[in-house]
Amino acid sequence: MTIPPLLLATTVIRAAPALPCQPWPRHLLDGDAWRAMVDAMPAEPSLALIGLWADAAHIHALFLDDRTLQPLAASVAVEAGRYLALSPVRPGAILFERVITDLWGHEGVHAADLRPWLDHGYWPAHQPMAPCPVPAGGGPPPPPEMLPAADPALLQVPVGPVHGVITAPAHWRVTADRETITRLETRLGYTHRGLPLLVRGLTPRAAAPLAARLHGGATVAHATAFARSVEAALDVGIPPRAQTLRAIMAELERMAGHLLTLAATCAAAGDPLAPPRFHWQRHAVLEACDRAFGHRLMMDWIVPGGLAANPSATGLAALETLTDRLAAILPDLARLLDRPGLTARLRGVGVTPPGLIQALGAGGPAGRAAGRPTDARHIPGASPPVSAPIPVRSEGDADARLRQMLFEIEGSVALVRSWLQTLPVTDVLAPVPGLSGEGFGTAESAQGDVWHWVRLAAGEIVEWFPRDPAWLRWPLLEAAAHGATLDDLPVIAASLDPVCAGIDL
Amino acid sequence: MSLPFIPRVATALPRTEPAPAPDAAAARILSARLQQAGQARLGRSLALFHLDTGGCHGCVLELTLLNSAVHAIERLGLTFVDTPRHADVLLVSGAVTRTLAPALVRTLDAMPAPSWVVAIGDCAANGGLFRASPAILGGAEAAVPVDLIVPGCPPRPAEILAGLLTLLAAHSR
Repeated sequence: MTIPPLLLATTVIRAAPALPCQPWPRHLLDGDAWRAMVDAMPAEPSLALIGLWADAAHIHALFLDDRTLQPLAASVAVEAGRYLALSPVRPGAILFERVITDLWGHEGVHAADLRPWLDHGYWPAHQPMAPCPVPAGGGPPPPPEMLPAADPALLQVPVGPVHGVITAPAHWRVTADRETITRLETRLGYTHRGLPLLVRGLTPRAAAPLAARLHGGATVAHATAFARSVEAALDVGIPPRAQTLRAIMAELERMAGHLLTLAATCAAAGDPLAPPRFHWQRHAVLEACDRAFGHRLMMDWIVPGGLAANPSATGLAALETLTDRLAAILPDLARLLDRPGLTARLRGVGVTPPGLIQALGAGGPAGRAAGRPTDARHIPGASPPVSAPIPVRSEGDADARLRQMLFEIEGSVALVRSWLQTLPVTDVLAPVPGLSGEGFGTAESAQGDVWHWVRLAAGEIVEWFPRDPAWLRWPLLEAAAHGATLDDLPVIAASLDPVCAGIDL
Repeated sequence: MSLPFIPRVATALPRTEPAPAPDAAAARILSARLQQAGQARLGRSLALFHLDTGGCHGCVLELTLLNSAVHAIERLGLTFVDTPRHADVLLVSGAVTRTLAPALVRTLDAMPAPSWVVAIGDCAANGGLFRASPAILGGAEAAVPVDLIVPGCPPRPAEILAGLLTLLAAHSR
């Protein structure tokens, strides 16, 4: 019998002194309190780890209390380059800890995995975010260190970073027992552009295009979360029209993202009929966005303080035409998923274990298709409020994910239609003062919840950390592939849509 | 009739029908017509291979749409292939990270000559917004010779297609 800890992790964090950070304070724990928090975490699975990052002297963790949807931030000082790792109690922390070592050089004590993740040995200096980066030694770096096969009879297949399809570069190491996958291990870092280093010293306005290019498929969500973090830090209120237009853009991005995942997954399942239909609708969404915003992905419209410009009336009319057309065609699209041949190929494929969904804190349609009802649009204080309940499925397979996405497209269409009807007529941009502060921002992308943290000093960015949902999708993909057949891997991968750009930074 | 030294099961398998002998007269006529139409009309096809070298994934999204029924590029003689060994054109999207540069060079090396490199988007053109980063080598030109640049962030699928058709027109000349 295990003795329950005396304190909950949430209680430990809240008891620590709160540092000024908006809209949620950041609690500074001492070493003992951090240890007590880690010890108490197994007893509180509802406290999901959102992100783990660092600066020169501290480790920062952001949690989400799933029962209240209340975010909670905790920090601890790094002592002699070390901190107590979270990966023994939260598997989602593994990749964050590997990145913290690669970028800042802090080492997690008792960390589950200490191999490099972003740093393949090709950078001019190791630990580029640290105050004193370590110059790299000469000579070609060794190949990535991957886990060995448990049995010499097992087959190991290396795939990537150069793939035979149009996709993001990642290395996949598939270990198979004949046709059954016994392990999928992935290694990323090939698209690391060093964004957190590039934004240092920039004003929030100058950094916005970089934040918008962390992940092009979630550019609206990232630009919104970044802008919200800056607006929270500097206490900037944005005009209501900008607020609603941002929400409309987020829903358009969700439609386009979901339609692509639907097309790609059906194509991977060998279905000839559905992919062209979904691609056509995605094309229609992007064309309407192009007409309304002059850019198919809507990049660079969202800036701290509001929107860079005001869309024209004819542009907004194109969005209305789009939503009318989509609302009419959605029942047809839903029927595409009901054909037995396709259903047989998707049901029971790529099941994400419910325990892992909770342990990783995985959100987005993948989380909602497996029983975790988390949606950043419902976090208290979100604006404009989305009041409809969050639909959740329990199966957690590829079929459930696709149905969840189609259902969410329906919701997005309804939201865009109602917001276009009630679009406030105001300015779209508020001034952003050149002050100091610290803030969090969040938004829901097509793939899941996006979080940004920023620290500003005299109007310039000192530190910034963005959390893309891909941080959880890659471990989720590895878990969903376990025990699957090799034939199913493309279907599983397409339905979970793991992208490198957002996690590679 | 069964042959004594071939197992019965093999002879029972379905066989591809033997090819008929060509019609010599028709071949002469067709050959004359081919020469009239010339390379410019019938020799136009390019096999494409894509590699993202460190972008935001925006170009990847637009290339995915280019390779769908929306544009149906096969009708224009353009096909995406799944290995660089079958490719004429390497489409590079994204700034070239130092980590991926060796893979980019090896991909081009694997392509049979003559081969072309097309830089898709501002990042592949010159490193884009990321070019100041120590993790970035630069645009595609920093690692491989570039023949054509399609600017944009990201370029629209139709703009990428226009660039590829330009290459096709030059190729068939």
